[in-house]
Amino acid sequence: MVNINNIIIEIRTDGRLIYEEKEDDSMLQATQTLEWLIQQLGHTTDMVNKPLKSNQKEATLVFIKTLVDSDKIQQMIIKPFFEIETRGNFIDYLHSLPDGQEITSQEQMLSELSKGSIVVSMNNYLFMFDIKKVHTNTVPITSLENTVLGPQSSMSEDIHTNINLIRNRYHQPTLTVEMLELGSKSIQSLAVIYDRELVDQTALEQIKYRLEQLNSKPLIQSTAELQRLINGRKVSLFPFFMITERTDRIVYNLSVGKIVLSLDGDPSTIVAPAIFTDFMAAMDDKYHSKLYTKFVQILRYVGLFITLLLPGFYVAATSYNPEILHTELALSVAGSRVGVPYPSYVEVTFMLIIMELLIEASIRLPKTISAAATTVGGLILGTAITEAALASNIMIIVVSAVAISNFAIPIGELNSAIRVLKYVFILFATIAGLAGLTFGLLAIVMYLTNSESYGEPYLKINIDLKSKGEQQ
Amino acid sequence: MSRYFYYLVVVEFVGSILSVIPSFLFESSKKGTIMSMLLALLAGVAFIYWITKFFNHYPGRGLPELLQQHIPKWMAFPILFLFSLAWFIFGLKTLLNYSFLLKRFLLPHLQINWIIALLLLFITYSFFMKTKKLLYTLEIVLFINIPLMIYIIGILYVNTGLDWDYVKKSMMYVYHAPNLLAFSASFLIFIGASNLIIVNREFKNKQKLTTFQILLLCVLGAWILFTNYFIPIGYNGFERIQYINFPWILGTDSLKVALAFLERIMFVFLFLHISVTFVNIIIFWHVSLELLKSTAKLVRRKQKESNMITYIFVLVVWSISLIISMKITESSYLMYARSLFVAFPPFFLLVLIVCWFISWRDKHDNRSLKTN
Amino acid sequence: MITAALKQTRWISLLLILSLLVPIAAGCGTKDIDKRMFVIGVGVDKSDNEEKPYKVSLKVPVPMNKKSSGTSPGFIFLTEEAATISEALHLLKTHVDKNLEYGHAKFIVIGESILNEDLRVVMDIFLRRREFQQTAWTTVGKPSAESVLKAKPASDIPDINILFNRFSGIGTESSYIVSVFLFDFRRQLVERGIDPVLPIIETNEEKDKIIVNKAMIVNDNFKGKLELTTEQVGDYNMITNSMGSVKFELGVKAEDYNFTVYIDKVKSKYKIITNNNKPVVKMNLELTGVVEESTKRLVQHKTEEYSRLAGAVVKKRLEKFLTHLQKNEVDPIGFGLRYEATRLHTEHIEDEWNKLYPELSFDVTVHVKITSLGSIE
Repeated sequence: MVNINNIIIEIRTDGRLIYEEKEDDSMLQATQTLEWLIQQLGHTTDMVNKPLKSNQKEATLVFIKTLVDSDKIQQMIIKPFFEIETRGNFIDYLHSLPDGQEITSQEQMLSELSKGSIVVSMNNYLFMFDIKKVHTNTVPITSLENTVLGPQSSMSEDIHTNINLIRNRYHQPTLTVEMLELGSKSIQSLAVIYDRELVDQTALEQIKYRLEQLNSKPLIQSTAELQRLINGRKVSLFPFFMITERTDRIVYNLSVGKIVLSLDGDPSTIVAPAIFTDFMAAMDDKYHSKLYTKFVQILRYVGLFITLLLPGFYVAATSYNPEILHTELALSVAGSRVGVPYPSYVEVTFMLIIMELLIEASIRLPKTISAAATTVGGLILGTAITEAALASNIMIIVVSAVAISNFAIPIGELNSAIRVLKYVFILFATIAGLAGLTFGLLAIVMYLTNSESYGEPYLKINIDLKSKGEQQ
Repeated sequence: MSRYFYYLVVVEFVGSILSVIPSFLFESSKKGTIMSMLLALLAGVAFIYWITKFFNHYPGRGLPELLQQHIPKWMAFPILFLFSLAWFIFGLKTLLNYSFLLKRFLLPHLQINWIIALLLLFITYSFFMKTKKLLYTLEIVLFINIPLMIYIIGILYVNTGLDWDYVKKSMMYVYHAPNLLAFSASFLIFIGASNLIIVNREFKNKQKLTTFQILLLCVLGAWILFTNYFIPIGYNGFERIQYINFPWILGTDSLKVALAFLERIMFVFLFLHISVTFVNIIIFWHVSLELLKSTAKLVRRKQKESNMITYIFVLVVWSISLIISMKITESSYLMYARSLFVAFPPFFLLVLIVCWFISWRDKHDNRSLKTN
Repeated sequence: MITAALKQTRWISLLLILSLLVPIAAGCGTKDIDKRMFVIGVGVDKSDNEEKPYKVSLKVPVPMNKKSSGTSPGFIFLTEEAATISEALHLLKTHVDKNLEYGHAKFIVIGESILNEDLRVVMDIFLRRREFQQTAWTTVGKPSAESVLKAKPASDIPDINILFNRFSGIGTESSYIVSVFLFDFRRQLVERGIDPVLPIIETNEEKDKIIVNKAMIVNDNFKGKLELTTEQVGDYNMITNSMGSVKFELGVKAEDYNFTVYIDKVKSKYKIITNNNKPVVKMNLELTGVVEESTKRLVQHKTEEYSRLAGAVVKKRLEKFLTHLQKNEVDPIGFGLRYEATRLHTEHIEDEWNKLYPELSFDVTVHVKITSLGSIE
């Protein structure tokens, strides 16, 4: 491996610049490297090896056509090449271009070329510039997390645009961006962004440590995958990172000292560490009036409890302790269950599974069929099942209430966790009725308080009087 | 004082309503319970004051560390072991009462050892939790349950079914000599603060117990005692209240409140009961476990042993609970509980003596250090 | 590290064990709601059989699917005779195909025939079994508990709330109805200083009318029982004010005035004074109401006089009522209890009271406030 150092020592005498050529065989090295690069890339048709010649200047350009921005090549390199008179001046010019990259090794040059850099060889000097063209830098509108008021732009799929968006909302010089590369095959860039003064140092160190452990993974395409890898747990149900696409949410989290991980090619960004109450807060809470916000927050928690406990409560109340319901209600429930052939917990599970299938299917349905699916779903889960006495009327109400209140939870990750959790509660209620439900609740509380997200306790009521602005 | 201290004290207050304490108070309702309650109030508040003041001197350290530092090993070991055993018995008695209640009202179809097994499944998870996390759990459970409790007690006071004549009649029995059982039962309401022997490890900042806070605790304790004793009398009548097994459950069942879809308030009360007693048990047993772990640390200084201790503890808990559950009935339980209750106040006196001894040794050592 | 991994496996194995418990649970304890029948009324009568003195009747609604049969459930009635009530309940289980649940039993009707027995024995099962609600209404059934339970008056929508509406104040509100919960009955029964009162539900031969306007006092010293007339029930309610707000009509006939006042607020309190030689109960009542009907024209500025007249009428009525109670040696209002509640307890306080009660005189002061004379003069 030949190590070419293209930092040229300049000696100024009489105001003129003199170039000292380092070694005699450096010229040979430069040409050797170039040949090696061309040979490595020679098999692909989109490699371009272009010699430029003008007066006494000679240069060679090597790049991969489909990656680079040809306008930029034209403007940045080719035109000046023909406009600048002397060779020396052109080399000065190339030095002073801001897009230059440091060359460390042949392999590095090769890898950079496959990312969209251009190698310019002039005499025996090698320059490398980053002029990649991105097509994914449009700034879309938020699709997953919607708010009524406030900014509507979401992250794009290009990492530089994303950092641009973030920096534009957070004009602090302490905002630090560290770039890492992930994936031995895909070599994606990962930006670790944090505010140097406010960040939680222990969490930062832990995250960086975990990221360094990931050298063996060949392909990391999305932040969600990344999240699972640096979770630190083999099996987890609850999310310990927040994934968001909203720029305002990211910036808010930065301002309270969290760390943001953004992967090139994925609009979702990871915010760590994240605790339970973060998942129950939507950005809307900051944009509406205070009382309305309180009302909506309470509503969300009510929704959370309904979706977790209602199916279990139904099982407990019908099969174990029917004296807990009002007489008329108990008679209603008994009446509506007349003719249903199986016990209540089977009924509940069966209806919920069908509803889950409906939800799963509607994610993957092409838009043309979605209308038909909703009709079918409504018909099946609605009147037809009760008419056929496969489920009771009240069951339908329970299932719809559960489904609707499930989606009141703002962040999708917790949503999914809760969807699985309610089956656990149904299990507890089946074994021990109402007492089992309470025990299940206590067990989940214990489990959640026992977990930590990078040193922060997961479930904790923060009523610090001098709050440092924890998110809601 | 940190708010977690209050949680410990309050959870014991609330838990006392739900345990066998009211039954013992009513047993001697014609023989001087009121006097005993007053005495116990004084004794209890004094206990809280002394023990908190002692631990405030040593922020961040629990009893095992203090014992290790100031007391020779041959004395510290039996003390720690005895304390661990005592806390274990607290938890056990609460667990047994709890399972009786569950069997009677919520899970009549399960046999009692299945109920205990079910409870132990969940409690075992708590053995692996650290003290700090346990405190967070306590906070959350209280957060959910305290509003319910205030609501129920509020309704109990305001409901027309409460006939103050019965209460007044019971109050007229005030000029009787205090009764040991009633005194012990009321005193046990105040032992929440004794969990400081382990929980103090988490109070790393210097805590202060001001006079206002003491007064507040005094008022709260008095109110709890009052409610504990007099409210069931108001609802169940005075004459034969000593023959009622679960006076509070029957009392809350006497409320006719149109509460959403629930028929009887008793179920809300039961829910409250289940959560709070559960947390009570896990705190007691956590303290017991930690004390046991510290005895092991005294003997050998290796860290690996602490996990072994936890597993041994789990085994012991399961076996003892299941064996006892098969042999015990409600009446034999009452018999044992009676003798246990009477033994507890002297035990807590012992705890205070140990604390005083440590502080004396500390001053003694300091003095000798200063002179040297 | 090892602990963490062990914890994980522990958690997973826990879940596995739990899921294995489901089939076990499926075998025991779970009984779906449509395999249960909720008893809403229990009646106890005396049967003619010497060896099986208790005749227990149950009223059970049959749940029907709301869509297919309209809004109302039908009822079935079960009767059984046995030596004890619990035996009867067990026998009754064989009458139906579903499990009988007593958690919703809202009515406990005691037949007239059984009032002579020791009610403590009769009521024991209702207090001992965990299922019975303490807020069930305890009543007396005339002519018998069974007939009361079976009655289906045309006016009430055949709905489970037949009797419920009358007693809870949700339906009709009347001061002639005494509503006594089970826990209240129990504590009154057990307490020596107060005698329990029970409302009487009457029904006729055809079982299509239910009238509740009388009450029965049961002397718990087994000295018999006393039936109160409608007006006396009104007096009782006025004094004890147990339902919170008693509304009734007060007819005033005096000095050629004849008008009715609709009273909607009653405040009553009393004190037992034993300092002087003559023990006396001083009772103060404050009634507020409006005039509803009058035979003569009433003048505005004479409202004071009308109030005074009304007060005098009430005073006479109450004093008559209280003396009547005293003569029959019953004490439903709880003077005995109040006596014991206001004096320090001594050994002989009960005997003191028993000697005192027949000697008591009643001093009732009634203040009626007529707020308006109605829409016309």
